[in-house]
Amino acid sequence: MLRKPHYIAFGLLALAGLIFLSLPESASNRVKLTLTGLFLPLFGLTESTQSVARRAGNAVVPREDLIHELEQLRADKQKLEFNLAQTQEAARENDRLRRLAGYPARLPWKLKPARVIARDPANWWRTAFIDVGSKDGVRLDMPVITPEGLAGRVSAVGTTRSQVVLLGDQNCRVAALVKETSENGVVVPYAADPAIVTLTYLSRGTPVKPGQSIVTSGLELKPGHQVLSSGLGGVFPRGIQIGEIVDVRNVGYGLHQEARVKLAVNLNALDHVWVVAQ
Amino acid sequence: MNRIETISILLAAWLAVAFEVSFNGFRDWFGTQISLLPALMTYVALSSSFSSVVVLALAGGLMQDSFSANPLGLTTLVLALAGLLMRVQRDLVLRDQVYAQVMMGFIASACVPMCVVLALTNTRNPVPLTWHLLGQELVMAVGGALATPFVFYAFKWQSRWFTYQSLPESHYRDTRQIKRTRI
Repeated sequence: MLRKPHYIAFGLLALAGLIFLSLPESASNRVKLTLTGLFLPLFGLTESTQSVARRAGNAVVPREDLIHELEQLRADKQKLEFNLAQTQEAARENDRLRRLAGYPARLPWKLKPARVIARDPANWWRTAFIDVGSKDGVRLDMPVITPEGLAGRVSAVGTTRSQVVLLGDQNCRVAALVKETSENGVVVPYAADPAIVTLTYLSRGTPVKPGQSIVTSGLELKPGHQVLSSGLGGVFPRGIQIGEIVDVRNVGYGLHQEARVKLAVNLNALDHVWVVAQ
Repeated sequence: MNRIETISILLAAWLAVAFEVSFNGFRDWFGTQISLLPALMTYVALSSSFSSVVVLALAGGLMQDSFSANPLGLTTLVLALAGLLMRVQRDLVLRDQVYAQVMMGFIASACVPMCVVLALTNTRNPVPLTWHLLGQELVMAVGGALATPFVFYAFKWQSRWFTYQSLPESHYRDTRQIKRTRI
């Protein structure tokens, strides 16, 4: 049975919980990032273990395999150098035309490599922690990408660690467009499957009544169409791959369409990411 | 509550949270991360002191919320409530039996995340209640239930190493024996 001191202790605990709950968001984020410092030995241990495992794996790779991979990489490098030369020429031409048209010059991205060190323990949120912070130039709302496409944005910044809210989370909505039709929409979470998001607020392209059709782009959305960030929200730059359309349906009594989009990035297997400083 | 017990509980809470944030095996296999804090709270509420319940709820809850998008302090409140309810009913539970440990672990592992989700429905970003979420809750409950007896075993093993063992009592007293001799 509980005695009076027990009830007092429980009351004090509840009070402490309520005080933490009522903290402003910035203070709460600061406390959270400080508390994650308790797990620094874990992060260090994980990195050392991975490094040892990698070195052990490297030691047993046969020499022939390494030579074959080296040759392959040399061939890839040459191809990429040709591509780079073409791209640089196109970029120069683009800059020249933008100047002539009076458009502002497009700034190149500054990419900051980061390692995912922890995942959100709650299954209903999709956030992760990366090992770079304000000391490395990371700021709030910077986009986080992988070579496959968009992963999320920075939602809280500590000195040496940052929290990233991933695509498909309630707090990560992205202004996006369909590459083939240039239809604009907003990427929102899809609750039933973590590998899928919903692209909503797409204008309707199907007949409203028999014989009538209201279309904006003149093209119908189809499965397999590519979805990219549109740059309209001001957070994510234009043209980052998000995924491809799985299916499309009319919603809101036929007022607009929404499409289910399979994400290009496997968010469960995130290991290394890049923070984009625009 | 002795010092060793407090340190053990804090260390176990740290390890439980470290496991949840860094081990992705369950996420890859079942699409769900299993939480070990409810299983730990089951042990503490049934076998340890009330102060341990308070320490675990405060430390474990804050550590878990620090890695999560949950509001800071929410898991502390829910864990404390679960611990208090189990603590009040501990005399009615056959806590040395494995099936009782599994059942209590199941109930705690199901109720704690469910209470957090229900509490979040009143926030700015409510969690959508879907069948997928229900499936995740079920996997978490089963995982927590299976982990609970191991938590009991681990603390029993720790207690055997770090505390004095009670001597088995015997009713035999040499001085109280009736000497039967020839009269």
